[in-house]
Amino acid sequence: MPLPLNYYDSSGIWSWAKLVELWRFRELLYTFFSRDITIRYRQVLIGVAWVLIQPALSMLIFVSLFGLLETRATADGSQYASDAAVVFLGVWCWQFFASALRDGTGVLVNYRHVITKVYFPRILLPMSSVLCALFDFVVGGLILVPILWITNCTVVWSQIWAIPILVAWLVLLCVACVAWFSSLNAAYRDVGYALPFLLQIGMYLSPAVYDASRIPERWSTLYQANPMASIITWFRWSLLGGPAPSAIATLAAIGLTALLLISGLAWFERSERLMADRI
Amino acid sequence: MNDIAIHVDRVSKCFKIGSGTEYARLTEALAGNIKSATQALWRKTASQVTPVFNADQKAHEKPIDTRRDGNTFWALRDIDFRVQSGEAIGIVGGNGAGKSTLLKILSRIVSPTSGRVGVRGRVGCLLEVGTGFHPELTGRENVFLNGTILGMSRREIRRRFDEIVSFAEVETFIDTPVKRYSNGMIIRLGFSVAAHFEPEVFIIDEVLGVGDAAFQAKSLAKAKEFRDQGRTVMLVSHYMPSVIEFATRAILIQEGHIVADGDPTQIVDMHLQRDSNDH
Repeated sequence: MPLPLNYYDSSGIWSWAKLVELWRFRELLYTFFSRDITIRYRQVLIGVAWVLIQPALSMLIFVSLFGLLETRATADGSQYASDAAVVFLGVWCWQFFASALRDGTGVLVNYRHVITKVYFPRILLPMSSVLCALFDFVVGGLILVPILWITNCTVVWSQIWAIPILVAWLVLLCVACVAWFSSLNAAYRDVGYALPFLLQIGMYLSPAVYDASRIPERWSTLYQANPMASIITWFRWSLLGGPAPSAIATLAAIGLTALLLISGLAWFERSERLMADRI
Repeated sequence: MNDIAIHVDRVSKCFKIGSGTEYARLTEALAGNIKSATQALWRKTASQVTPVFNADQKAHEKPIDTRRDGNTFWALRDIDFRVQSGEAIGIVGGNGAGKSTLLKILSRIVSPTSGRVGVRGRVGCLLEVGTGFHPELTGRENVFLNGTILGMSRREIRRRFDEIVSFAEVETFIDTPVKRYSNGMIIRLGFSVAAHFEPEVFIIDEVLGVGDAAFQAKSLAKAKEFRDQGRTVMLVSHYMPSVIEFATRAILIQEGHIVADGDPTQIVDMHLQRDSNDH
């Protein structure tokens, strides 16, 4: 069968052809991913240990802080699991999101010597950053087992089915944010400088180091419309049996994620055309 | 027409020049938008009549400025040609004529401002060798990384791996990190990967070509091999004898326009004549 004559021009819209092309380049995504993982674990002597230590250490710091302040991560009278488990789940999810964004935002600029020399769908670069963060997330999750065991928490096995769905949601949210931030950073470098600050604000606006039950009832729907807040709370529900966010808040969070994803990919596609000229 | 390999359909490319319109910071861009909006408003209210810019008139006075139009610079204007599959095309033209921009558009690194480009099959591009090589990775890992970036499948690389390594003469060091390689070894390995890629359309830029005379000779030999296999090859060169020797058809580009298209010997004569007239 003769190959088709593929046309391309300056219009940038997501089309079926684009998806076919992404599928054709799937091996490149794997290559970028395995390269980043290989480099990271080869250079750092304690490799995997570092991924385990990071969320565990943050958890210890915040639990000790709560101890010093004579308070707990959850609101009074609504404890459903040990503080260690509650805080760890939040910090673990948040660090996935934060490291995906940190690595993904700068990735286009870091690889501009490749971008200006060869064509491939540029979205693969930030996507591989998300995959790397996912890899660390899965490895880091191993430490959850001893935490649950030491602090005598029982896992709610009947709700564990939700975990893969929540991870998928988290991944899509990361892709959406990274599509926005990486393409903005390629054009405007100050986005990269603003990011750590934004992440810090985001961490306190999400129940990363405390439980969502700390938020007053009248604010909770608005609060849980933040996709990260919803995802973390649902994680706690699924694994530890904590209170679930309301249906309306969850729908709002899902809607917001979808909006971010669609607009992010569209924006990325639009800026992809000028990327090699501007970067 | 089923045997067209490349169709360049009325392609133009313009660049913005000067610092007035390029923003490196998002905050500046936002400020710039506000500024230009207020300026536009000011111009509307002011009764002053702005002089109409006449491009033709200006071109007549100062021929060197035909490609400039205010802040925009037309690197290519209305480039239109078709290449039959199996043709060996030589692109000639003076410095800054737009040859490299054309190649970058053909290889999809940059997109055209207007018009469209159609290519049948994969485009292999020898603009630079070793694109994406990472110093921490071994030769083996870099072959896979570089090969997939160029557009090869992992299976293709695996099949030709031994050939790639022996062609580059780095068998003993293939599992050593590339940072311990000499410059010559890195260039040999990068070239070897690119040379074992078998795209339907092969583009080679001798102007940008890195490396020494031996490397240039090697890449020209590779281009000839592709030509003799009946693939479509496009060569950009400053060295006229190699164009006459290599190409079956040549295109002369001057100041972003196609000036002539036809027999390589005639085109090269024409180019040399124009060149000497300029000096």
